[in-house]
Amino acid sequence: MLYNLFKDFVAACKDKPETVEPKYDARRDAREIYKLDTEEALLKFIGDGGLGDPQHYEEIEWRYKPKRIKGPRFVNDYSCSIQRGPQCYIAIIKNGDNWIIKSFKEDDGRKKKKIHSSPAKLDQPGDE
Amino acid sequence: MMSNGKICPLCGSDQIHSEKRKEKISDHYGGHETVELNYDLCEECGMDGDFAKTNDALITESINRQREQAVKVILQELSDNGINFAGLERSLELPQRTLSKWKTGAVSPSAAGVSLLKFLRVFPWLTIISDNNYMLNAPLVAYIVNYFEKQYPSSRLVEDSEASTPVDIETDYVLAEGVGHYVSIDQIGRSQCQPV
Repeated sequence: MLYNLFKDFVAACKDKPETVEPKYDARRDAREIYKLDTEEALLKFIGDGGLGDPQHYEEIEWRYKPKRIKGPRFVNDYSCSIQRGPQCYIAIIKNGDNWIIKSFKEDDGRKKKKIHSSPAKLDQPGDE
Repeated sequence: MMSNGKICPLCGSDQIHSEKRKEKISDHYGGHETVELNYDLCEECGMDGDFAKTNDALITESINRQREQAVKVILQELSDNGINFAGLERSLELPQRTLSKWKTGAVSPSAAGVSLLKFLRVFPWLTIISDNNYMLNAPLVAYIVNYFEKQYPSSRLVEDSEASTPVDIETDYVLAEGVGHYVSIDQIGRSQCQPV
């Protein structure tokens, strides 16, 4: 359930921030675009519900998965609203119990056509 | 390939390439600094980041320096404009000598304190509102309208009935249309700011 994946990610940012690792560019963009200056500020912001109305774009298999990691890993990306800030594009990877923030930047809208279902729809039973 | 004691948080490899990257940290009033941040790249899986978690401290130090500078700049400007610190502290209900201590660096203001000063720098008439126990009345609204007319001569100041975008509160005045936002003030002194 993709929406639950996002909720799990937010919960990890709140309760287990040590399991969430932003990539270098994601941190820089969060700082420059959203004034989330530090990694701590970024994860607290997400954990405290700063990303609203997540719209799932797509789930694609992670092409650059390290060879030593067995099994597939997926990149999920979302468009989220941020109060008093530009629409946000975030891409995350769940890697076992850990998370990678691959991107955190302004959503340029280029992937909007890929929104295929609403969060509520994704939350329905059987949507796994 | 090199091992420098760091471990990739993604794949666990110790083949980490580390380097310094220059990043600009800026504050509108405090200027800007170029800070050398740590950049780690896993040569095995391509994951990058700050694996040793040292950048937050470097960034925070830089921000704090710029905040101190911003506070000095803003307080100097307020002082140059004839604003008396003792009077301002009384109006804002700050402990006496707070602003002087901020200016000399004897005490560092919190992030909220710095934000307050930045608001005062942009909207000096906020002190008039605090003088009036944070309530607006007709003379104050007239004063603010006058301020906006001088500050934003290209903006169109209109009565609510003329506003091109409806506002959802009972409004006496809509201010500053043309600067991207409506600032509206209702009959009991609440104000709203909303994008056009």
